[in-house]
Amino acid sequence: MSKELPKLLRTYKDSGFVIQEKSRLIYYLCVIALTAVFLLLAFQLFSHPLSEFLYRSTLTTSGSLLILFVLLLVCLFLLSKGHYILSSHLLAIFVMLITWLIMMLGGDKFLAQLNYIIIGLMILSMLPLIMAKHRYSVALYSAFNIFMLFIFLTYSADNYDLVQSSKWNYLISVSVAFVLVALLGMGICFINKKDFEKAESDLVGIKKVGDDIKQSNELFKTLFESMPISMSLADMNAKLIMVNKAFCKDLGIKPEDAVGKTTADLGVAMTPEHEQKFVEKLKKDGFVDNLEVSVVDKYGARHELYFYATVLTINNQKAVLSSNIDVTEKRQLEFKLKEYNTKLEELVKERTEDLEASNEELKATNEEIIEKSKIIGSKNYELSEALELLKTTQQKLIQTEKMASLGLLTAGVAHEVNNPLNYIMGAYSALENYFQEHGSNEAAKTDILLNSIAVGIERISNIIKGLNQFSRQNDSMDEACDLHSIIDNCIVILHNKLKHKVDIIKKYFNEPIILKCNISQFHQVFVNIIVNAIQAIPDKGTIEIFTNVEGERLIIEISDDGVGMEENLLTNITDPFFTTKAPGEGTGLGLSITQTIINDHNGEMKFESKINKGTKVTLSFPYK
Amino acid sequence: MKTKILYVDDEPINLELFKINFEKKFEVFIANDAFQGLELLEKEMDILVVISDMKMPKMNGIEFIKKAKELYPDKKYYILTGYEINAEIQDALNSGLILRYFSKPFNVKKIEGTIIEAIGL
Repeated sequence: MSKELPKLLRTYKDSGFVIQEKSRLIYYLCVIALTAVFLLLAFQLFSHPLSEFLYRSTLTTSGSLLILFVLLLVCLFLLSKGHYILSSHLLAIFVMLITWLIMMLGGDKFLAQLNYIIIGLMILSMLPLIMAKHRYSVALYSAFNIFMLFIFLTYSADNYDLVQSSKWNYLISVSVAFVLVALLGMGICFINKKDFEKAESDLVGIKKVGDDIKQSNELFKTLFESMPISMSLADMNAKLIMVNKAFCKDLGIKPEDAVGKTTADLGVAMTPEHEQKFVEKLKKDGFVDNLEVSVVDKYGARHELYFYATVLTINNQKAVLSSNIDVTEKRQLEFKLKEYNTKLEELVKERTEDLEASNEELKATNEEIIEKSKIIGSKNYELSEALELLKTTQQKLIQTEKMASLGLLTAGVAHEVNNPLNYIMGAYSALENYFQEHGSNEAAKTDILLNSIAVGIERISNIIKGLNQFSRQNDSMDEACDLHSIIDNCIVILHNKLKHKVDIIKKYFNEPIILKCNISQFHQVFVNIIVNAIQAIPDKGTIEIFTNVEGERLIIEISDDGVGMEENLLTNITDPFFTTKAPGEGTGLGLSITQTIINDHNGEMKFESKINKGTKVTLSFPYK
Repeated sequence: MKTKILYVDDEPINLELFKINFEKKFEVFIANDAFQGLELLEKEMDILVVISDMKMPKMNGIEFIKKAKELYPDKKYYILTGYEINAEIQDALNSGLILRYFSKPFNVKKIEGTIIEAIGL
């Protein structure tokens, strides 16, 4: 706004505006004065021939002008040193003094230009008013000029026949003019001063506001520039007015390239639908907040932005302040995160499936193991069964071995007994024959004696036979057995146990029963059953033996009236080593062996028993 | 003329008692062992019935009868034993080597009856 100061006035560079203007005025005045003096000097030199130049008057005028020139240079010098007030006063004083000096020396030569000179001096006298310092020196200068005019008029009028009256008239009118001008100047100056003071105080306020504005502006600029988010100010035609660093960085441009162009010019455009939405919203509300838009940059890459915009009024012009946050990366990260998440989920799913499969496998393996365990269990059971069977078999073998040994023993004993028995028998037979032939003196007595021998032999013989039957060694199952004689044999063998205790009641089938069997084993069957029956009878009792043929089956029932057994024990009584007898009395093998023999003969054995009533054993065999 | 029978046993008492009990009906030859028995059979060609004890030293009843039967197949052979019937005797019965076996103590009547029946008197 302010024109640049002349080089000479650089001292006032930092001074106030008024001082700068004042100094500038003085400077111009000086320059004008110097130019005027220079021109006058030149005029003096060229207007007079050299011969005239040496005249006194011309010489003094030129000398005075030269002095004034120097004095003006001094004023300029002082002005350049910052003494602008002193300079202005000196300027006024020097010009007035030299002017009057020249006028005095020049005499009537200047009378014709007197009015112009007076006007010029009057103006010079007003200089303090302009400087607004030592204003009252205006009166001094005016008075001095009037005084000098008076002297000049007096002197000139005396020399050049000036009319006396016109001389006073002129002087008075000039004086009045001076006073009026001074008063007017003072008045104006006074009013101006008031105005000026007010203006100055206003200026302080304005300056403060200006500073504030400047600061705000600075702050705004700094903020605007340093914002990490892209910001721009554009007019209503979308032409950019201002952009920040982030904006430039985002678009890869320089700030000066952006101003005056639209973003579309810079190769960046919102997708049409987003743009439409943005413009509508902005028109409707005057702002856009957090609008999600897609933008395609000049390389064709798509960016996702959160867009903010507000309509402002700057210098009575509407503008749009926009900012945006590029969330492309965030979006990409989100997308990636989502992708990872999905992948993770898939992975988890996969792993879960793997685990489930493994679990299934484990389950299957487990089941297999359980299955195998079961098999082992059952094998174990089989093994223990086998062991049990082995034990039983061993015991049975021992029993069989015992029976075999017993058989051998019995056979040997029987043979040894039979031979002496044969002696007795032979002798008895011979004696009996003798007595029949020759008679006896005491026939009754000898008959009894002979009979006793016969009965004894018979009984011994039967026992031996029975034992032989019981223990004979023969494995064949198809010996012809006379059932009744076998039972009888058993009774003979057990005679010792039966006598005086048990009565045997035989209810035999009316015909002999001959079946194929192993005689020895059949003996064992009946001995075992009858021994059990005898042992079940505590004191005295009866054993009934019943035989019958029913159709194609042979039935044998052996019942006692002994102590009986609990029904629940009946299922176990054929188990090996099961016994109700006191230890040592029974092996627990009797009925087990019996059952085996019966099974070998395709027979069956059943038990019925009641406590204190007795037990009935029923055997049945196939019989044709 | 009585039927001639041979009884072989290693016990003299048995031999004596057998002879006493059967000599009324039969002409009884006795031998103490198998060899004597074979000698007697050679001498007395008309012995019809041979009864032997089972258990004898050197040669048992069945072995003796086997030899005798080879030489004299038409004679009737029997075993009289203090033992019960055993496999050897059973085989002899089954093969027809012996007709029957008797057990000790002997029953005179049974043996008499059997012989009489066998020789068809």
